[in-house]
Amino acid sequence: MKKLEKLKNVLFATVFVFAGCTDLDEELFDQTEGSTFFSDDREIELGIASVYQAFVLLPDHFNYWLLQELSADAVFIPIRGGDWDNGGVHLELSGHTWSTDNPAIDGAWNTLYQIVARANSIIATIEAQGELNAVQRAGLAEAKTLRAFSYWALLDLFGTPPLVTDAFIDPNNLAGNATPEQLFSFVETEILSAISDLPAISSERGRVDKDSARAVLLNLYLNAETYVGAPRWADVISVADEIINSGQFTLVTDALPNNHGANNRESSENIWVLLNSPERGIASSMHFAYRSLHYNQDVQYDLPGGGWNGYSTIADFYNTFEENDARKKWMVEGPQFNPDGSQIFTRDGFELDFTLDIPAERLSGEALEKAGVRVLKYDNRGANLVGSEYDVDYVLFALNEVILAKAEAQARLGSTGEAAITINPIRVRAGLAPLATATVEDVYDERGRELAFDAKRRTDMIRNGTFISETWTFKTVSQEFRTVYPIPQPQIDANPNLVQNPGY
Amino acid sequence: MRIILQKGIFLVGVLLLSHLVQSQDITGKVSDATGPLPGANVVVKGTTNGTQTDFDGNYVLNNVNSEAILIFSYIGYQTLEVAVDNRSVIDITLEQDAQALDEVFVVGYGTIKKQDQTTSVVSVSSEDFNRGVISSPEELIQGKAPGVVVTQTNGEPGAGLTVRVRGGKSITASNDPLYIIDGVPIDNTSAVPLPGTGAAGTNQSTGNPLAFLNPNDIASINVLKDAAAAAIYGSRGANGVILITTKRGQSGAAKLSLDYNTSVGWVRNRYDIYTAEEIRNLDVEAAITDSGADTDWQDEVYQTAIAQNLNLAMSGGGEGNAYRASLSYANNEGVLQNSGLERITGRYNVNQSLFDGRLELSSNITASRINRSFAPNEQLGGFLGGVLSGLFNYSPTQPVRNEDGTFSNNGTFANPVKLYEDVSDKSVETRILGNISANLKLFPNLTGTVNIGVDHNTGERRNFLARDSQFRPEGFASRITNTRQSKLIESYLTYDKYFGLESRNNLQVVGGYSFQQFDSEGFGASAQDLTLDSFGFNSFASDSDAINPTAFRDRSKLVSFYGRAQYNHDSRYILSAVFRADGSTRFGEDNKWAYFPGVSAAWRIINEKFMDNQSTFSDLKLRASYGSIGNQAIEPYQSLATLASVGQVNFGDNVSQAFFFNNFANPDLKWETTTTTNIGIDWGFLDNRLSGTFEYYISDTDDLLLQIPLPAPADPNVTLANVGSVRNSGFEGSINYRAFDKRDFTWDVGFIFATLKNEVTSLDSSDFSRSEIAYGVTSGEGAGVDNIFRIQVGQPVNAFFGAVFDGLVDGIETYEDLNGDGVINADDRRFIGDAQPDFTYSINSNLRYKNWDLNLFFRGVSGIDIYNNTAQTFGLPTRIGSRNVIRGFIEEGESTTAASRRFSTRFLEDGSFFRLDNFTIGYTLPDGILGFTDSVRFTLSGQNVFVITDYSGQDPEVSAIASSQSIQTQGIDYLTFPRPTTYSIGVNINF
Repeated sequence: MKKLEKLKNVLFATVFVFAGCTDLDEELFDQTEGSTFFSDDREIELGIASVYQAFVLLPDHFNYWLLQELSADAVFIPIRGGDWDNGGVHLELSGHTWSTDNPAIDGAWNTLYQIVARANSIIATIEAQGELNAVQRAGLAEAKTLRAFSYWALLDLFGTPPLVTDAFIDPNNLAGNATPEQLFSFVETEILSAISDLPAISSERGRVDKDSARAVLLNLYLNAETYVGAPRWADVISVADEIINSGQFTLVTDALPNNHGANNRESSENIWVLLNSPERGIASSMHFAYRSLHYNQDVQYDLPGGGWNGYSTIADFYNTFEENDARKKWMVEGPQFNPDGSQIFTRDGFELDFTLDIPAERLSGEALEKAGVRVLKYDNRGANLVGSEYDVDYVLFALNEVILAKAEAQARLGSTGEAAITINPIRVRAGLAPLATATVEDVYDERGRELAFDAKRRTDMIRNGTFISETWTFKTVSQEFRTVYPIPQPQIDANPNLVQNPGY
Repeated sequence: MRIILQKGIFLVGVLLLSHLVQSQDITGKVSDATGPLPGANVVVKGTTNGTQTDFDGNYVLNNVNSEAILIFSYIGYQTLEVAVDNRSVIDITLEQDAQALDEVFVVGYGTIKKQDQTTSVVSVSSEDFNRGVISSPEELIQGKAPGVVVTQTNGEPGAGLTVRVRGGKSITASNDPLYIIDGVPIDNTSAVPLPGTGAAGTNQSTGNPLAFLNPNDIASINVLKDAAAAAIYGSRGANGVILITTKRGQSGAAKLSLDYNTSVGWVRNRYDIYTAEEIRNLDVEAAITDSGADTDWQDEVYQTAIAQNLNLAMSGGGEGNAYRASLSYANNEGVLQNSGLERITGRYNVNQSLFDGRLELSSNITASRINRSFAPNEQLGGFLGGVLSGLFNYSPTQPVRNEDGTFSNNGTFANPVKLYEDVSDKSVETRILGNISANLKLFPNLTGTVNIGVDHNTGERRNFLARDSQFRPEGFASRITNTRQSKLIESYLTYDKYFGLESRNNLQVVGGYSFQQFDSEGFGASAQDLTLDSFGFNSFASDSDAINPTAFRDRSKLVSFYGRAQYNHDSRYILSAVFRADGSTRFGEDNKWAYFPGVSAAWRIINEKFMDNQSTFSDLKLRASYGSIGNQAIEPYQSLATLASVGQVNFGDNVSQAFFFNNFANPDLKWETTTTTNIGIDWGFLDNRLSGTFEYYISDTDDLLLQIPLPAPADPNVTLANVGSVRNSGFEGSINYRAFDKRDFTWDVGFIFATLKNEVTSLDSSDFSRSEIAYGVTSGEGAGVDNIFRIQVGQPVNAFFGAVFDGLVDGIETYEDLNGDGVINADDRRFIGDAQPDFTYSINSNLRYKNWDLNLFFRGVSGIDIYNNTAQTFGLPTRIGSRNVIRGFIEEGESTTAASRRFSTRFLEDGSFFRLDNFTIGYTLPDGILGFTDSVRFTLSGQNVFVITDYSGQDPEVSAIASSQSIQTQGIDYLTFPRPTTYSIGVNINF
């Protein structure tokens, strides 16, 4: 019985010893408490990397690229049987009838504001360091440039999105709409202040330097009249000249493949690119070849599984290219053959032959899989491909666009002869005859071809007054308010201080 | 003074009188078959004079009238009344009451007699379990407990099951009940990881974590349904508690039991697709590709599933101890090739009684290993498809192999037969669950219990894609290992006291402490560009290109204090109160502790005096309960502002990690609270030949854990907060009828049913408000981006929201212009259905004639809608040509070239069904035919024998396939792994 008494003691001891254990602090292992992070330069670098990382989705399907191209006159996505219907969200972009819950509108907003949110946090953290060292100053300038890019794109797409620079949002004091003037002035001020601390040439490709920041500023000035009603053509020329004269960039001899094909990382023309390395397991949105090419072009284009048979060009746009324009190879037309010379067939057994004519929004019959010349500005051939992504870098800004902006400003200011001199290297490279004079319309047309599928077209059409009033395949004259997209419905739901853009 | 004196005289008189009727002291000893019984009640009938036996079973009763009658009682034993008859020493041996033992429920930290139960608890014992090929314990009680809906996700062996006790209550947190095995709350998340990123073509299934238990080891499964019952498990009880009690040995001669069964299963309801001959002769606009062969792809993809189960158990014990050991082996194939489950489970438990029964030690250990193989049934819409979409993506005119022996390839989709060769997707799961508990009688009325348990579960996923697979040129291999473990230490005291007149009052109090820690960690790596196929998923050592190593680790803790008090007066009035305080690491700094009370009461009318003179009722009890319970089933760290890698970026030739916040701080984050009111009546007529239970409940779940979208700029752009409420209510019942009860012929029939009404009652909190939550999308080519479910106040969770199909115009779908604005767009949608069943029921019939017995089990569901996504996608007539199409989903005139389909009422169908889930015919050899055996029984079982339904898909019972915005979708049928029809034969021999 003595043993039993001891056992009793053990039992009571167990009860009380363990009852004392009421520590409920969480132990973290593979993540860290945010409040103590970003305290040294190394951690700040990791934070800045997160701002760059947020750019990855911009060229994705339901995102920035689609908003800039599908509502314009170059790209169309017909419904092919069950494919590319998606409840009509593509057609409503093409036909300028988009609703406030279109997924591309939501996608672009979220990506751009994710960049803003991350930049806001990093900027606040760096600014809280007090006296800044060189690494911190450069980091601050980088983060501000990335944020300014994002606010420029938000201004361009949405007109009156909220302008927030605080690291943390207060749910009881949410920001309302900003005016275009506020956004314009914010982007301009931020870029101008950042340029001085940015390196002339970024130490690592993919990071912003002075010229990347200038490219943003250039686009802001180029569209100043659209944004705030006051043109800044002279500023366009001076910023363009700063970039051109930096000596960093040259027009490459052949834009494809050098700028948009495999190994375009070496291109001397590209100013700011999103680097893609799916083979290193880094997420990217580079699957343009899949989005456009046919299901059965897997062998021809070395696309495992075959393409998704979507993105096509509109005939009228295709016809703006002269017969011998070298840039036509950004599009895939006509009959398609395997490398061994054998004809490729559609899934219904017709010879695969991409036709210019897209007979209907909703295709049927033989046209089902064939209609539409395909878009292949980012060629996957020769690139490393993992899953459906390949390691061609996505170009945000390049020298050709700077040249075209300068030429446009010159033409707008009446110097059509100087504009021609500016623009001719681009025409010559494409195999076209040089111009003696270049009018605003000449530059507009050249820009349309040179920057085809580069996510510039919607902005260019608005600036040139063609976006609303002109009609093209499956697009009639649209409502005036469609020059800006609506603020996505989920944002209006989540923030009572936001007012929807007029018309929506 | 005089008054005092008078009183004194009176007192003396009384004493004298009482002496005259010969009061005496009585002593004695109460024992049972194995020895003394401490704590047994001894009481003088009609008085409050009573006592309890001491540790040696001895008792002393003072002042007992020589004519009196003594009542001896003890839980689980037959009560005995003994006349004193002038004796002064009365020794008694009580006999165990088998019936009474059966009627004892495990309710968490104790047991309770069924007749005294005040809350909603349902118990299913092994003789009532489902039969046939059973892969996991939940299948045992499918359809057996009213209000407990068990749905098989699909027909994959050992696939996950959805178990909902009184319907789902939470929108984003788990709706799975808490499982407790022999007192140890277990982690019910599978340790098997999902396939590695890049392991294309694989299946998203991880299998059912409970499959590690051998169903043959289970003695009973009890479900605590209402809050007052489950409140003893506090913040984990909101979805009900399922208590699994395993079989234990009994002292005495060793017993050996052997079970073996083998079965065949096949796809009974095949897809109705065109044959090659039919395709060739079609008169349609689309061009027909004829590759000249005649292939039945269903024959190529399906297989006859063979299953074998062997179970061996032995039990016995000597004086003061008992053991049971079992070993089982199961090998169950699926009806898709490459799919199957192989399980070995060993289980051992032992009870040891020490110090004359004052100390009871008990230990359980289960060790199991499950090898699974998953078919490459990619449900989630990969472009190449899986083996099931291959049935429709390959024309029957296409051969399986070309003349040169290579697999045919239509260029766009994966050849399903080649997929079986190219894709290997396996898992290995090892689980060890053990506990040891000690029960010490500190005093005759007070027992102390300590229970220590460990659960260790390791799962490894092994994926391999061959070098010439279409998914990953040059091949892919990955191995990912997860380990989940939990440790439990708990101790509690139980006080049990009888008192009052004839000791008819009983007070039972339990109070204790519990600590449980959950650890989860994992590591994985993959390789691509494999050098050789022959190394399979072990390709890392060769010079392949290793990529994507991953690792994670997390921990959470739960600290609890709990108590329950039950007062029972004369088995007529029973009052119970329960309380638990839970401290969880998972919640916000300001809300670490949660408190869950419950009260309940029962009135056993049958035991009232006024019921003595009637014979209609044999049982009648009213009961009511009220209580609150919680749900803390969210991932750890959700209340903290945490920072982690959000990916990587290229900086030149370097790769930089990107770090950012992945969660916002929410110090107020707390548990969801479910408050349930339950009323019930238990009744029996005609000596319980007809008996049953009816119950009604209303449960309100508040402070729902919802993902709230944050306005821009915010990253992440959602935060978890406590917002909104859901109400569930329902009427449940069970009716049992013993139609015949003769020696040679018995027939029992049981019917159970439950209604469920689920409604979102609020989506607001003081900080946040949501008008609606849209989620879920259809799958397949051209799948909509429009969400197909919508959560809105006044609607049930998982309500379908979409367009109303309005026939075809020019061969193309049109929809009703609901708002009459002349344009058909996203505004022309409304609530069109609901994926939760309104009514579930089952009928069970047990017939025995001499040595033959027949069990039939029917199960039905009504008032449920299912979206036939398979029909939408694979019934699309544009597939005619180079692919194949399911017939019966094409309307007259639907274009074979232009048709496309959106989510609408068109393929939303009534998913009600009534099925013969199981029949079993058994024959028991007459006694003595095989002299060396105790009993020999043969069985023939059929499972999923027939289904009566209007649903046009393969099987109306489909379950969640995916989650969208952290919400589990329900009621979408898309390439569901076919559920087999299975016939099995078995033998059971007891030695």
